[in-house]
Amino acid sequence: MLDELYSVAGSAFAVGNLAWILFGVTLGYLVGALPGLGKGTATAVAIPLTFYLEPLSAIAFLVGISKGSTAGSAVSAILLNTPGEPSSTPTAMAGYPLARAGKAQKALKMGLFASVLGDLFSTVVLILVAQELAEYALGIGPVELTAILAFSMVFIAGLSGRSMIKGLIAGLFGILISCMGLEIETGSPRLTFGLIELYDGLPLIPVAIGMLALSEMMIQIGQRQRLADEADLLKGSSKREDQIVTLADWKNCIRPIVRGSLIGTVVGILPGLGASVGSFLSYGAERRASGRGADFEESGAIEGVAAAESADNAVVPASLVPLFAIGIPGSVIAAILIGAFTIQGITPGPLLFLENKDLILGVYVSMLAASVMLLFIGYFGQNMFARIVRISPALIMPIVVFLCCIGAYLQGGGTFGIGVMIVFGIIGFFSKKYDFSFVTFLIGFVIGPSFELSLRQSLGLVTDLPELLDHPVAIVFAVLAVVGVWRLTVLQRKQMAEMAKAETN
Amino acid sequence: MKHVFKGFAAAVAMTAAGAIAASAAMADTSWPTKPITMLIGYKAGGGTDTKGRVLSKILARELGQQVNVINRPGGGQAVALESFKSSGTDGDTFFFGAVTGITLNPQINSALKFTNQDYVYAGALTEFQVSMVAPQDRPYDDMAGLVKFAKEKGGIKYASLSPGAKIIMQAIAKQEGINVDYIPTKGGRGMVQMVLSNQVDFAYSGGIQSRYPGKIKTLAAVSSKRLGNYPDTPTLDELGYKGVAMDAPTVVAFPKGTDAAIIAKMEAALKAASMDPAMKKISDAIKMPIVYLNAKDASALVTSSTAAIADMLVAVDYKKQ
Repeated sequence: MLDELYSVAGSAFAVGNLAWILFGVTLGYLVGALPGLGKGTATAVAIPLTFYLEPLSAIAFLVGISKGSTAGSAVSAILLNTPGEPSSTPTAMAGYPLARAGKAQKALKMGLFASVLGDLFSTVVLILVAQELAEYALGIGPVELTAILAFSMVFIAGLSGRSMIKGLIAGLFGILISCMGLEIETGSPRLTFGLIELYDGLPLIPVAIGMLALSEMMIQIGQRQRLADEADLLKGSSKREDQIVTLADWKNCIRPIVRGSLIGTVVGILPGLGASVGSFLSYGAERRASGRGADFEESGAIEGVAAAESADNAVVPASLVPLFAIGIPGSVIAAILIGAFTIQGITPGPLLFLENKDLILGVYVSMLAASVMLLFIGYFGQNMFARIVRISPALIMPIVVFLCCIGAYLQGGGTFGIGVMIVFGIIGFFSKKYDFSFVTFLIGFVIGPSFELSLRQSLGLVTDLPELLDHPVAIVFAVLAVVGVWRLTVLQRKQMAEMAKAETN
Repeated sequence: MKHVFKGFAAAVAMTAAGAIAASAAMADTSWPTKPITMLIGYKAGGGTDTKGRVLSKILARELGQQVNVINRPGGGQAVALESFKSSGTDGDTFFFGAVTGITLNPQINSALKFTNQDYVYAGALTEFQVSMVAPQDRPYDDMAGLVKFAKEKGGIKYASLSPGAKIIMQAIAKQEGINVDYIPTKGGRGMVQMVLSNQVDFAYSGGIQSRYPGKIKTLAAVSSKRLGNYPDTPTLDELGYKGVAMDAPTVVAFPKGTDAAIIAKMEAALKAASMDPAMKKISDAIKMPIVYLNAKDASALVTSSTAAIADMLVAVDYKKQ
């Protein structure tokens, strides 16, 4: 493996490629630091602009954005008690009190170190695991794929929101929308309303931009968040030990970082969970393990920051494992990245390692380089980012909306794409308001065509019921899917009942 | 003095007349006078797009003007063809792509508003090696063997990567009286996956089997004449399956009404391209042989192909979607 990576190091370390990785990580860090903008928005908007890049630079750039953003979100979390992304909420809870106590620099630095370590660990796991999984996945036929996709949908639906039923509705709606276009066997138009532009279905990029970026902008404009107008928290205490990370801090934090990296990686590989689940799980584990409980939020806890940041950064590379190995997106970022691959004419999936081996290896090396760059950018750019965090959203939002329009125009076939973006922006706005997981919708939309195709292929291949027994893997996953629906619904009912009881007490 | 003046006037008049006559002659062949556009109905990066881009560079050299490639994907080239139909007859834009988008698709999809009559054809350059294939280790090596296998087993599984592929097999199945399960696949790659993993007995291919030597065998050619890559493989027509042939060359087309001189000039440029080493290099790389047709032959092919497909659709009782 090492010599394979070495052979592509030449192209990965080309100046042009490195420049794009640097740009991606910096841009991501910036976007993450700004509250209201997240990696989903940034990636969706940036994808159309990567059309003119080499495939390696395009993918490395976009993944760099994700990495940078997840790390940068700690900045506003710690300084302004406003998480730059939902996954940094625990960071805000444990880090903001530290900032108030004058330990902002310490908290920011530890957050950065934890992010980079978690990210590196997860990238290594991705490199080791993805290809193994892909070789196994080559043996997956349509029957198994149908069952796996069904199971993934259920899993994602159950874990993406507070309601399994709403999640399933969103996912099935996504699959329904993905049916628009020419039917694959006979070429007959479905739900195309006579528009030729819909013959290949709704274009993914405008849908993603609309649902993620545009709807988020609409919500932000409605909320007009007021950023905490605190005094310059960076110049807090004059004590040196409050500005740096001491050996004692490292001793305290090494355990949460290791645990967080592991939790984040596992959460990333499983489809549908997301970075927030990772960071909350890790934070909660550290909280319990330290025995300090509520004191974590009272006086702040560097261990909490470390736990949350290492986990949420570990989720990002790991979430690419199912995408590269099987072609199934387990997260919103992965789903959008499919669009990026498609633009370059590449299909993620088990064949990726056979046909585009060099590209994937180059992406791996680039991701490792990105982790290192993240460290430098976060460390040396701290002052700058602390200042940028305070830029008024009124300046940022129009720029983002403009970029959205450009992207939708380029990848949606002109003004038609902008129309699609607007429609889905509105749909995204309402689904966020009513807690219909737009994540599940987007993933349903992306895997819909694969699901339908593999289902129809299965119906053609398995002509008799006894033949189904030839596919044990499929049966296992199908059973898991059914059990999943049942168990997750029961679990949620229990949770709702407990919450109701807690409220009445 | 008067003579000189008359002479002078005559000379001026003759020069003027000569100039006007010359410019009139130049108007015939001066196209292109500004950059022209090549329209491709598929996304960037695909086989047709790659060939088209190589061709565009050669044409630019031959015609002396830049050739810009624009991708307008959608509906199996339908979006490109519909938008291009009425785009003007001055030769600014031409279409490059698989002819089946023009001969087959309008006949199976009633939503498409164009037909082969809406365009004029400057020539054809390469040919998809449309054929019937099977996994290498199957016990049959030709169509007769396949039919025997199908009758013994009670039916075969067939991977069909497009509506056209399904229709052809339906015609064959009807003629032979065999049962066929149609497994839809997503394009050539999906078909290859099915064949390589031995999940189907038989499949239609656009030529992609050349990338997997020793793993996929070619049983018959679907084109009306034998294929360049498989000269020893009989065509379906030779084997007694009349009326199911489908030719799939890539053609260059202009909207109807484009000046004949423009067509002629493009035809000459295409001829030069067909002998260009760069073109040979790319066609060797993607294993799609160069098969040049001039404008007249290309038009004849389009017309006969459209008619043959119409007959085939009637034979399988096809209901237009």
